[in-house]
Amino acid sequence: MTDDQWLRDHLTSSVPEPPSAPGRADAARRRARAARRRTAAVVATAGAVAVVAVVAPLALGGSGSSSPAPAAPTTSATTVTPEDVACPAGGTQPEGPGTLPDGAVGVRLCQGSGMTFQGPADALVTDVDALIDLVNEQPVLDMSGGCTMELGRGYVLAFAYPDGSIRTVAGQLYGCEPLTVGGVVRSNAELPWNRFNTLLAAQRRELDPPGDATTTVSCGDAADLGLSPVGRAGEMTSAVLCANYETASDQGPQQAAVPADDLAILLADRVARRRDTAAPPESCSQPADLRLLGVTAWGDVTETYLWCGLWSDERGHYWRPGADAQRILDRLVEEAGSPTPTVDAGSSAEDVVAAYVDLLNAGDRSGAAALWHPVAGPPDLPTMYSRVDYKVEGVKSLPRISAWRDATLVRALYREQIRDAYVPYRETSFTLGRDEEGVFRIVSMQLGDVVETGR
Amino acid sequence: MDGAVVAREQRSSTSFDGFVAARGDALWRSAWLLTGDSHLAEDLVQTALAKSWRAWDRIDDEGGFEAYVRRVLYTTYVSWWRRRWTGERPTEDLPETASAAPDLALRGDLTTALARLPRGQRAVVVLRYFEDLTERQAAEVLGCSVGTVKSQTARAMTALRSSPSLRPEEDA
Repeated sequence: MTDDQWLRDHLTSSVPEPPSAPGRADAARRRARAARRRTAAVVATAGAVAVVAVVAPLALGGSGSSSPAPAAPTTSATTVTPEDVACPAGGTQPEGPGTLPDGAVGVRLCQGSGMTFQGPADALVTDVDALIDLVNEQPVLDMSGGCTMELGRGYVLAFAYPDGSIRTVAGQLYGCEPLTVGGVVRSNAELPWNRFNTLLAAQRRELDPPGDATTTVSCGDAADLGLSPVGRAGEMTSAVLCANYETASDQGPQQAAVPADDLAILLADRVARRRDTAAPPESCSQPADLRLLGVTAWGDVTETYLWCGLWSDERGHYWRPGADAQRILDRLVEEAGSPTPTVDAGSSAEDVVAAYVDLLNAGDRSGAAALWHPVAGPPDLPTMYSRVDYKVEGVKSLPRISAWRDATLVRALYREQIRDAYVPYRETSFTLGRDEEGVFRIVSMQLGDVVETGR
Repeated sequence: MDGAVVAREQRSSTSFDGFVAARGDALWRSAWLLTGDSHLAEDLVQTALAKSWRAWDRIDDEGGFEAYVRRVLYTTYVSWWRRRWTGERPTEDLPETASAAPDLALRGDLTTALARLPRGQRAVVVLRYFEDLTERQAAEVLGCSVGTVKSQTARAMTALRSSPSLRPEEDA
């Protein structure tokens, strides 16, 4: 049987029976209509912005002033501080009226049930009633077709009222996009999310950034806090370059701070050379996952990341750096350096083998040799390889009669690749024992049978 | 809305329902091989149908409409991959524990090996060896060149042949 025929036969037999889905056509139609409503809402919002842009100068500068003063916030922005509108500690309110009353003095965007994002530090205190109207006009969700779980962000909008009460609305940007208001589940959770972010951006244009906003960021922040839905990569005021290498051991990203002058050059180059349509290829090989992670004057964490030669951001903009910008990026990557695995008495046997593989791949043969047990004979390092691959299959303690303290066997699939040539995995056993300082060291490595894969 | 328009929409709606009833499961099977997960497969099928629904009246024959839906399904699959806000990072090597673990565990090593392919290669494999499309047809669906299909297919086959998930004893 040929490979092709084998694959055809097995693909067909691999597919399970589809579940019964009598409401599939209805669900598709509902999605199509919801998408059309969203498109109409976006168009309407864009139209409204255009109208305001035309009308505002007439209202403010009717005398013909060439430099009208900026519009003041339309609600009591000066009497409400962000502290007045806090994210609720007790979660959302699953019961109660399904409609929000008018008159909220502020609203804050908080983390909900879904993927993490960084909520803005400031509360929205202008045009809050417009957001309330938008929430209240969303239709009740028809749950009869069932909702799938396409994982995305989940958020909570916390509305604060003059009497000190808080009303919450929970939205999920996945599946049927439910928008829960009290005991009522409405639809189109994406609309209030977008409107909040648009209104907050407009509010910020009339205000100065806070003096106490976070001004530094580290590579772990995006993973811990998520990215801001409001911040824009082009608005970074400080940034770090993060380089994540594919390693066998658990290594965090390498990091290099971006000097202010260099950041200015990078951002200017990005503006000049940014494209919105030049999508990168689907796949490519790159040694590290690179990101420019930055923070804006408002404390928003934002980023642009490298994929297949193009830097992309969350808004689908693509940037291919010019020569000067590329030199800066190359220098930053060099400064960030590559990961250097270390082991100590707290490292497991599996950690030590992973560190050994990483050191081999980093070309640090003396570091790799140092992970062999000092009394186990000369290290058995590979000689001809371009990359070592390794996958753990199992770890077990060896009997106490072993000559090595805490002797442990790590079973793995292992191969030493030479450029693009195909090299099969081999079942490989690493035996380790602790040295005098209690650190696991490699005692022996035995290459076993070739693992026959494929046909 | 006048009566003629209502009648046309009802007729269109009925036919669309018929198409989904007849071909929905076949679309789901392709979607399952792409995603490796029952729920994601249903989501992908519904998304593709929703995007295609408005084209129903413009495309005369059902065969043409099905080709249209399939094109949308595959390109949507690729765009899901690129959609960064979902938290999915483009990568050539999927993690050891795929997101669709429950289904993969049940369906064996071929689907595990498929899950480790880059999405472009996975789409080509499903088009060529499950849908039985020619290289040119697969290129038309994906909106890429025949050369790209050839190279993606070759890389996918190399990866599958060397996949630790595909052991000889599993073939018995």
